[in-house]
Amino acid sequence: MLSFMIGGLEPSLAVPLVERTEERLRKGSLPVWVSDGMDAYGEALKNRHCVLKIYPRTGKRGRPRRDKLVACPELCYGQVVKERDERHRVIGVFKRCRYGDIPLHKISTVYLERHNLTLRHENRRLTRKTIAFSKKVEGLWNQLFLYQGYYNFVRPHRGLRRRILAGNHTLQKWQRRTPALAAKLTDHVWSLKEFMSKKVFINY
Amino acid sequence: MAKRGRRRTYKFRNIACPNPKCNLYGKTAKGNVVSNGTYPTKAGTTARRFLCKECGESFCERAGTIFYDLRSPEERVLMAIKLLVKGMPLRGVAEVLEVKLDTVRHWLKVAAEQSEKVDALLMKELKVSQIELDALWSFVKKNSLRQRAILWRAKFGSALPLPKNIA
Repeated sequence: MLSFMIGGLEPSLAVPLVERTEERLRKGSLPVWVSDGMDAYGEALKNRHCVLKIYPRTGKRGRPRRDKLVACPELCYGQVVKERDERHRVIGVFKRCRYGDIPLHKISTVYLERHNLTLRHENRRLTRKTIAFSKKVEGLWNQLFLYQGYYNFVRPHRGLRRRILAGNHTLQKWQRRTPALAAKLTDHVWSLKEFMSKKVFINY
Repeated sequence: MAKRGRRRTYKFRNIACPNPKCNLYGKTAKGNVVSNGTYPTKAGTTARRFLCKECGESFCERAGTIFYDLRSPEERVLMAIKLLVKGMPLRGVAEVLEVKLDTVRHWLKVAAEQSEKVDALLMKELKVSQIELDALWSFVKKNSLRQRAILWRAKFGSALPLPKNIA
């Protein structure tokens, strides 16, 4: 879980969300971006990674074509779009490539959809049809900030577990791993106490 | 000949000075931190105070963690956080741990600040191959009465009009 945004309408959140996500990435890294059919993400990405395309003079009569900003050739962005009928039921899913050249069979949003389910399951504020919803936005921000750190460092992710090779001293079959451990940011699964007692020295 | 007397050792090599103005701010194993006594906490445990010999500031061992300036035992605070991230509402946590709702709210706030800081410190320079973006729909309560009062104030002045039978 890299970042999140809370706000009113989804298109207005695309720009800050992309900004906050890119802050966490290594400079110069160009991952494949995948989203649902919301074009605002594509626009936000294009505005951050764009080049000016200059149309050469053709020598013919008439006004020349205006130069325009186009997405970088390195930017890869694809969409996974759900098709719905008039009763809003999903009748099909298709994938399309917006920028760059992506093998379409490799992109998906299933991990994020599953993550949304985890979020809804473990945060009572996001649970559907409950009266424990947030009454103030600050509470929702606090809960999600807490959950983001907890998810990345403390909570072992079952999908990230790794088989321990045979011949080890313990009888444990699997190594439990957190997202931070899988990304090699730490070397162990943090306890909650360790996470909450970590001293952070800013500008150090 | 070996030097006589007790060898100078610094036990607290993993503790750094939390004073941002100090020259050795955030640096460990510099030998500037010495013990400065202990004191009993409200939770019944003993906490140690330290002194930075570089800047002269003293600080306690819980400075910089979420437990600083909290009166409750650490276990109870951690239990509250665990319950919060396992799908329990604030009021539920307050009831289970027999503390006030505002106390749990404060714990959530300090824990969120800590989590944000640690996450921003460590989760960076990542090399990922695919990023997925999506939205999650939820809602926050609109306090219609308060909003109505704000609108009323903007329209008719500072005070809310009293009901007719009192006025």
